[in-house]
Amino acid sequence: MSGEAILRGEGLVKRFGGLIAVNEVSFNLYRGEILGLIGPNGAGKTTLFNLITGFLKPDRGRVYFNDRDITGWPPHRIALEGVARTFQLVRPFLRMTALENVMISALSKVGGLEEAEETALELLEFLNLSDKRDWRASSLTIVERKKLEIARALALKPEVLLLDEPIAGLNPKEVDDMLETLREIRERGVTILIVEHVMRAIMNICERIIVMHYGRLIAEGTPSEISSDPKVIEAYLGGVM
Amino acid sequence: MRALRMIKAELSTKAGRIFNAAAIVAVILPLVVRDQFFINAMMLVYMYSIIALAWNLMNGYTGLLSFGHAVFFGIGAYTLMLLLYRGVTPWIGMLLGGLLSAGFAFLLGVPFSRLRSHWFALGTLVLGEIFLIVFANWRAVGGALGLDQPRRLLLSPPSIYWLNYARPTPYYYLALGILGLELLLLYAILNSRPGYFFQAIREDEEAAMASGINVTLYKCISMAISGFFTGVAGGIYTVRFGYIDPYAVFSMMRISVYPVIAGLIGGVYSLIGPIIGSLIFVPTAEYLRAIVGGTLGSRFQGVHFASFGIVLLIISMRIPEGLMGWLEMRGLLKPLMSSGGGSDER
Repeated sequence: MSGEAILRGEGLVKRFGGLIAVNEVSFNLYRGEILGLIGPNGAGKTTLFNLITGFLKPDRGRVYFNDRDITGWPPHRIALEGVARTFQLVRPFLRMTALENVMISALSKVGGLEEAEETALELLEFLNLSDKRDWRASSLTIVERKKLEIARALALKPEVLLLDEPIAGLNPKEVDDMLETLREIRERGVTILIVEHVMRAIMNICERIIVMHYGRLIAEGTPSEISSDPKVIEAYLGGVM
Repeated sequence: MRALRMIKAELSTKAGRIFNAAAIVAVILPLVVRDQFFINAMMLVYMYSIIALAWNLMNGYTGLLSFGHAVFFGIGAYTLMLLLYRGVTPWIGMLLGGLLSAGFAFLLGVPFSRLRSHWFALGTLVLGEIFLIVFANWRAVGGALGLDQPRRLLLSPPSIYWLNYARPTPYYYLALGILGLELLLLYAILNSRPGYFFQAIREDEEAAMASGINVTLYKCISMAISGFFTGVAGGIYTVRFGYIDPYAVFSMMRISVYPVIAGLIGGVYSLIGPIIGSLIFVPTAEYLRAIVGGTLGSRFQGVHFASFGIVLLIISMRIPEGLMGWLEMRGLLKPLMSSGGGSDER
């Protein structure tokens, strides 16, 4: 693989009681790429996200960001350091307006309200939410909430963006818009790690994909390699062979 | 100053003009009304408003429901009293009481920030009872009998230095002034970085962390500010009544629960909601207490507390966002300084 790894996981393990949710997972995320993370339900994808972003502490293994060991850092520090995330089930600040939602993140990075508002307005514009800026997040549709969450993550001016199923639940037109947005985010210099179930989308946008199954990484490669990999097919079809 | 500009803008709205008029009435009230009982009752309303505002910074704005604000109140009350014995003016005593209370609240935030929602509430409830028991058994601070103010204060002529007046009017202005300062300060805080962070924590702790917010730190800050003003309110109580005992200042019912009820009546998502709530609830409660305790006799002791429960039940079912929230929803009044600015296309 080319380029330098901006984010690295080494031998990550996370147990929940008897269940091993993430088992000896090592991966590299290279600067500037869009890396897909796929796998059947319960494969450990979200747990891996939580290990990277500090919401869970790994039982074993390390996470490196720009060659700096960030394992065990509290989530807010990791977010400020440059690894932002969204949640699978969107979690906007419901009682606050779209603008305020994004301003909050921006305020973590800059001191003044004016500057934060400027950043937030620019991002709302970027995600086509400008006309909803004064709406409470509770009045936004699911698609709008997903976009809002991305805007909120971008307000942290991250180097790496972790997206947990940003496309699930969107209609075909919305999927295309979202893919376009993701490409534009990459063009802004943000490296993306994306978990997604919508294969059409993930095959379309990722240069590289890693596959998890029962907590382990079972495959890595280009979309076409992945889609013809017998291990992957077996994982998804449940061992028909 | 952004905050000052925003306050100016707020005061020019319809709600702002009502607020202005109310403030003027509050200032001239003692000049017009000579009834000392009434002035004393209003002083209590302001004292409780100070607590309710402070309580609501934690509850309505940070999502930390406290049933233990008597702890902060009591710390402030005792600090002032103990300093009076050392010849310290109550002005300094009030400030130190507030600061001690703030410091305690901040430290308390470290373990308590791990407690979620109702577990936090239970923790504060238990803490209040612990303080009551400790102070009731602590001989050095008067134990269950409490403390009278130093005799020489009773004997010396009333002065602004010692705040040892017999009539309620000076305390009325003291409480009103502190309430005004608190309102101004909280408004400025809520419209700056910490205010946004507090509300993010209230809405969703995980999302707040993901937004780069040090949730523990900001919970501690919210608690410290809340503790400060509640401690100062405790100081007002001490100088007003000149006598404190643990059952009064660490009272769960009279101190900890009052701001909760006032907040819920007035509306916890509005800055001035808890003041409106206190204005309605405190006189009603005191009146009920007087009737039930006095007229109906001891057989009905506690009946008024039961009636609070019924009132709360009705509020939480009919107007869960309190009076100010209800007004906002009806579009009758864009409430002053409501949390979360924008329109909600309901």
